[in-house]
Amino acid sequence: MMKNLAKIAIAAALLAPLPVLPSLAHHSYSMFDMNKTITLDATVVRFKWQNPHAFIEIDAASRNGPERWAIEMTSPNNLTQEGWKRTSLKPGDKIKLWIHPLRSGAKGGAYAGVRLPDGSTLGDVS
Amino acid sequence: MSRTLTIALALALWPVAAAAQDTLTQPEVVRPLTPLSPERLEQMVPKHPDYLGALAPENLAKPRPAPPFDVTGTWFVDLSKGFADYMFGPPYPRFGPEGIEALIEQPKAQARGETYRDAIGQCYPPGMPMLMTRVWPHAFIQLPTAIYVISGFNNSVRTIFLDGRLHSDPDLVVPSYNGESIGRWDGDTLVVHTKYFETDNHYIDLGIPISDQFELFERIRLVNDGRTMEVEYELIDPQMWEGEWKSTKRFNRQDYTDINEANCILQYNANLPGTNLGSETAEERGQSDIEGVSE
Repeated sequence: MMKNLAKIAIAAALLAPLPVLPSLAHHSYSMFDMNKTITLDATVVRFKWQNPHAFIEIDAASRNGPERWAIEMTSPNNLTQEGWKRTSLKPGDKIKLWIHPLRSGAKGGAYAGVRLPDGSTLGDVS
Repeated sequence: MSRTLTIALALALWPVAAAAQDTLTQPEVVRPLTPLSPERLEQMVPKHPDYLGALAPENLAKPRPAPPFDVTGTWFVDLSKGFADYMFGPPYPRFGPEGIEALIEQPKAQARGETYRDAIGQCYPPGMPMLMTRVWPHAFIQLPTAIYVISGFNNSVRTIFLDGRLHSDPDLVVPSYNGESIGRWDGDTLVVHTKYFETDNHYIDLGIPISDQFELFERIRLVNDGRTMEVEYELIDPQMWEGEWKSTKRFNRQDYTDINEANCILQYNANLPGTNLGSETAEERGQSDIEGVSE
């Protein structure tokens, strides 16, 4: 009985869709819809350049006014390789973000790309 | 020159200091010192009086056979087969009910868009063996008496003692996420036996729990002209699974990186929606009105 259960469970695990994980993720990304990318017009509230994950807090423009969001990023080591710097963002900056949203529809997502105030882009903005 | 600079700086900052003094008066701080007795001072130092510490000069200087290799360097797990190779299975041993439950429930949670046993997201250490396959570099520093492993992931520290000591008294040892590791040389291989693990929120792969009977054996070799470290892992936990759970991992030298300070700060995780806390914070902020966010 135990053997059969184990076989079923392993098969289920193998059949489960594998998310595309950021290379330095230290926890599950199953909360994000990694197959969906949306864009947010946002004002930077805080940009925290820290290990193991950097993050951006933003006010995102919505139909009903600004929404406070948190955007999870990978590590500074990883971000540096695509051109990020500790000084890339500052509070008040107007940016466009490409993110993978939370599956729940709540106000959070995983970073994919950004258009900075000077018009330059980093990451995946396609 | 430096005196001139100091005076210039003092003059430049004087208005700032004067303004601060207008509003705040710095209190005089008095901390009387009472000398501690030698006995009290001795009690403050944790000791194992029966054997020397691994960094004691007398221990380091003891005559020993030359080791077959020096693993000192910075190493990064080889995930060239695929990202999922950071896990230690499949193949899996025959699990007891706890392991089977994890294999069943984790995919369900993933399908719901939820985390499963998000211990690392709550700042619990990954512990051994998962620490080694975090996608962060590890610094190995080999001495005659011990190998110190400092992980780039949250600066986790592990010591593999090589000085011939035995495992600690089980009634005194403090269980830890990386366990207590004792190594010995066997030909061209370093054999490491680790036990005394902390079991609280300590999982393997995607939520497979361990018990206090969990023990880990590693056979470590350098291959590829010393550029690759190969580790054969053997995981034993008679309370959680049958027999030995085996997995071999490779790590490559990375000579152009170092270990930086990295801390898991739970409050910051409120801004990492991939963690439980970050997800809960996002939920508290409510559903988004932005078009395209929800299905």
